[in-house]
Amino acid sequence: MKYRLSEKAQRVLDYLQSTGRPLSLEEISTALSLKEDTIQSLVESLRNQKLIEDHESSTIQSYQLTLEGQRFAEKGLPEIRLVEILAQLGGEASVSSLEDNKILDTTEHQLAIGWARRNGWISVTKRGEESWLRLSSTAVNAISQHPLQLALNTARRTGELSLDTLDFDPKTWKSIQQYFEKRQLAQLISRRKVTITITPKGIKALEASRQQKDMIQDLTPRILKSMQWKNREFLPYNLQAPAPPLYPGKKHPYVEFIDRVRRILVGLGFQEATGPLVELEFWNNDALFMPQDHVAREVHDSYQIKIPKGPGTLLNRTIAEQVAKTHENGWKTGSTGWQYKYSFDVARQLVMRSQTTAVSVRFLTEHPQAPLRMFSIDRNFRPEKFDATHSAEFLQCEGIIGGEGLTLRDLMGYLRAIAESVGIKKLKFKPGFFPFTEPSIEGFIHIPGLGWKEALPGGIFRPEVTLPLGVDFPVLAWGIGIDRLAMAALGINDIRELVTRDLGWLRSVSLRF
Amino acid sequence: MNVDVRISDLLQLIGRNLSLEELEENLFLIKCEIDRIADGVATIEVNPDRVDMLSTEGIARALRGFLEIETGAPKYPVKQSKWQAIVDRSVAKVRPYLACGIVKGLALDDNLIAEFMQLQERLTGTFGRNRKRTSVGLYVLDLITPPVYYHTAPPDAIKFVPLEFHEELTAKQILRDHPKGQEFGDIIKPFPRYPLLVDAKDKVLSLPPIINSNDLGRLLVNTKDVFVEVTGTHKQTTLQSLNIVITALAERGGSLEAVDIVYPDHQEQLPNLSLTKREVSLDLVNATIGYDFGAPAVTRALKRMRMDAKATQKVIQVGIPSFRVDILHDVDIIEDVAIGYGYNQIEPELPKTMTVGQELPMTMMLRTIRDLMVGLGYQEVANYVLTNTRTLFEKMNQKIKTVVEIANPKSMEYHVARNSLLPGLLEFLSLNTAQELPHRIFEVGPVVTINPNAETCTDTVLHLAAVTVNSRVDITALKAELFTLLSNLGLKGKVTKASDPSFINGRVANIQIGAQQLGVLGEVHPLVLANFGIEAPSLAFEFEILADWVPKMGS
Repeated sequence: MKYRLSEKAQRVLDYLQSTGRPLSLEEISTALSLKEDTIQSLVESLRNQKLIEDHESSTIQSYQLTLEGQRFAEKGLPEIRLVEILAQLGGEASVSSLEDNKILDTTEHQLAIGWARRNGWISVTKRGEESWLRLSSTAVNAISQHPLQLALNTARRTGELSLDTLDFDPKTWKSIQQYFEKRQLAQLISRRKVTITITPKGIKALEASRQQKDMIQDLTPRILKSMQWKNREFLPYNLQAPAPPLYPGKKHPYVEFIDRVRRILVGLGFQEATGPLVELEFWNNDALFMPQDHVAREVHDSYQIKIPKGPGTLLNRTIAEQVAKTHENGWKTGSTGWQYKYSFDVARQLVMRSQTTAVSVRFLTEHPQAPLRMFSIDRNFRPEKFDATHSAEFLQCEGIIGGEGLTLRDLMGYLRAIAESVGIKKLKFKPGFFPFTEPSIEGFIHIPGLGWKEALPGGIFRPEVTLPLGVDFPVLAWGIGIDRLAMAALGINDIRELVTRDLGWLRSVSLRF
Repeated sequence: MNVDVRISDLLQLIGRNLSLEELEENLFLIKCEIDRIADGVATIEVNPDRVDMLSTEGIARALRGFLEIETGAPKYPVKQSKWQAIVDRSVAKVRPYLACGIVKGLALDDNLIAEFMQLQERLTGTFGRNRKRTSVGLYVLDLITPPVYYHTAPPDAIKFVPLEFHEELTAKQILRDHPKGQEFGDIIKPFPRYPLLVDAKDKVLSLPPIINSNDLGRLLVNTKDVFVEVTGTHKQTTLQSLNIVITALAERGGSLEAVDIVYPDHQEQLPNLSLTKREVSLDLVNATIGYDFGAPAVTRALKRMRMDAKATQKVIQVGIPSFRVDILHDVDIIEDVAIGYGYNQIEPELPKTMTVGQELPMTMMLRTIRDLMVGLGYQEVANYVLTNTRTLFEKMNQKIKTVVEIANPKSMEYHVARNSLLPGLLEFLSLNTAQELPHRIFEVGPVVTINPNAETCTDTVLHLAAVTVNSRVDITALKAELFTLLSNLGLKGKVTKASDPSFINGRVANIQIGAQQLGVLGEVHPLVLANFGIEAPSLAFEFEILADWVPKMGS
């Protein structure tokens, strides 16, 4: 016999055989004092081995108390408590005196009076401004052994109220059910109930297992110390049996993918930088030479902020002035500028950062020395409806390379190196347009089955961007469509799934990507 | 920005029969992409800097140069005419600038009229900042009695039949009832008098920038001579918009005539299509692109880009056509040299500079925290920063606190920035009640808090939060996990008494790390569990990760 039964499995089979009738899991759990979830997994495994089989599988219904039902089970129904109070007070009391009497809270008060009246337990009369409550003659009798209260109490004691274990007459039971629903005291829930029996194969396994009793099951320190193992045989294990799933701690694949890209960029000599999620218009746009009335700055393209109102602070006045003049007339950059009146009020307004380039220009301001290489992978925000290809919140990965003598050809070289380092082999370039770079490039990558896709934008920062920040050498800037890369790597085709809320998927997804 | 172009028409204007592949390849190299093709019409994506290419004529003009069918700046002679447009002083405060021109000898059909409308829409949408800066109108010249007057009038006094309508409306009614009035009315609404273009017989041409009149302001099939008008709030943009429209019409074989714009204090003859001169150093061109080009290669490339160019030793004299509104700086010309040379011809070069790569110390810290949390058996999750106050506060049984709120949210699901991670984790769990217990999840990420003294009136702060859900939970085990985590980070923590409505009273504590109180730990209140629909007891903790905890090495 190949089956090696665990001690618990043997107990379950033993019990099934000894009782000789189909048993529910609850019965087994109670009889063997094993936890119900332990029983469940044991039964699952025994059923798979065909040592037991389902005898009967049915759906049973029962009532489960709501929060309110539980409260009334504990404290008593408010109308019953009202009757009790009135009885103590001599059968009569004014509403206001009851309100002072804190036995019922304000919400219960209404309920209590309402239901007690409907039940005919009290009558209400007006005396002057006051409403008076008076007990009816039947009330005190009616509340003792009140069926609704009894049902609540039973449900509280047993955890639920199954439909077949009640001794109410059908009419009373029906009215209790109506009260449950009308007053939302309990909810009807359905559960599957299974009874199981041992199979002939199970009986054989059990017998075989009993015979194997003198074989070593668990090797213990005691057996090792006493050397008993020399004279006894080892019970063989069935290692071919399926193993249960485990859910270990795991990193999120998207966060992990980003972390890998980060390490690749560090390997390419880039230094990481970050910046605030709520940004000044100045850093988000102005310092990038985007005119203050640029269409990309309007409400449908950037999230403006209601709270806090701002304005924020321009910490470096000199640089702010230089940026302003560059917008207005080009300042000393050799540009014509945008020929309009620049507003510092606009510059100080707050936005949700809409592009990581804000981080790049902040970094340049703080590190105006060549050579430099910086990257940032950070969150950005734009007013989009969330759908399969759009997200109001997304990551951008971008970087800058600064140094004397850097050229457009160097930028292409870097883009190719970056592409290759993240596994992209085929790349071609097209002239592109970004408000803050000139010349600009768009790197297209070839994805089998999809063709050429825009994935690596780049360019040389305009002098109108670098010079006002105090940077007098060329700065190459590039970006990677990081979310698109992550989706390809993780086999996801809906951008929202990058931040999936599916625990099952996270538990099962492979981290080999 | 997309432009619809009839391919046969485009090829005819180019004057050479290209295959679709050749067309696509060449467009790609001058910054355009074919987005899709249907029924002989190609939708071409044009980059927003090249507003001169928002028409079939503009694209054809660029391609003729790139293919060297016709190079250098195109010549558009402008004849004198007797036409005048008289600008009243009163427009100065509303929409001060006017630019006009005349094109004669066109042969308009339905296709061309639709195309000019497209150019007008695209141009005023981008370059004209949705008509705020400039708006453009085209008219049948013969229907107008010169001179044209540009003045203002009170909204009630303006009355005409607007395009697409059959009855006369007042300006007030147009702003209220006409779709264009509803779309663009805000531009003139604040002013007591609206700008108006009329002819010598006082017939209305247009209520700029809203709508033209149905009588004069409409191009008709078989029209030969066209009057073009641009009004605007920005002088340079107004003149340039006229140049773009009028040179596009000229590309259709029209001959141009000038209009005198008579301002109260001076007079201008438009269109002014003279070239803008710029001198660019050959050395700067080479230093930027990374080649050692001679002057002939550079001038040839620029001529392919429809610029005039000649060289005197190491200086390139460039003549920039009036429709090229994107040239602000020498670098803009240098990009044209690179495009004219061909991006596909440029060889990438391997970078030479040497720098040391480095992660932010905080990145290393976060990775260590994530490793430890995984070691403690937690599954990492990632949530958005954007969320809503219902999740952040109401479901958490908390009073509403001030958080960063967006003025123009797209959805009330995402209208504030989170100030803590825990609500997002509970929301995550609420969607996973069917998954086998236990659930153990954590998140490390930014939250935003308000700080009136900060540069951006806010601080972006990193937090760690974790939740355990199981049929039975053990708060001592959670505490052990927290202290194990802290001690592995070299931090000393303790818990102090607290009360917090998200947690069960008496089962919640503040987390103090070093001298600061940084977070909270406890058993989640059943009310909160019910709000999120979580059906088993839950333990949670959350604390702020301080910048000065970062590792000592590497800085």
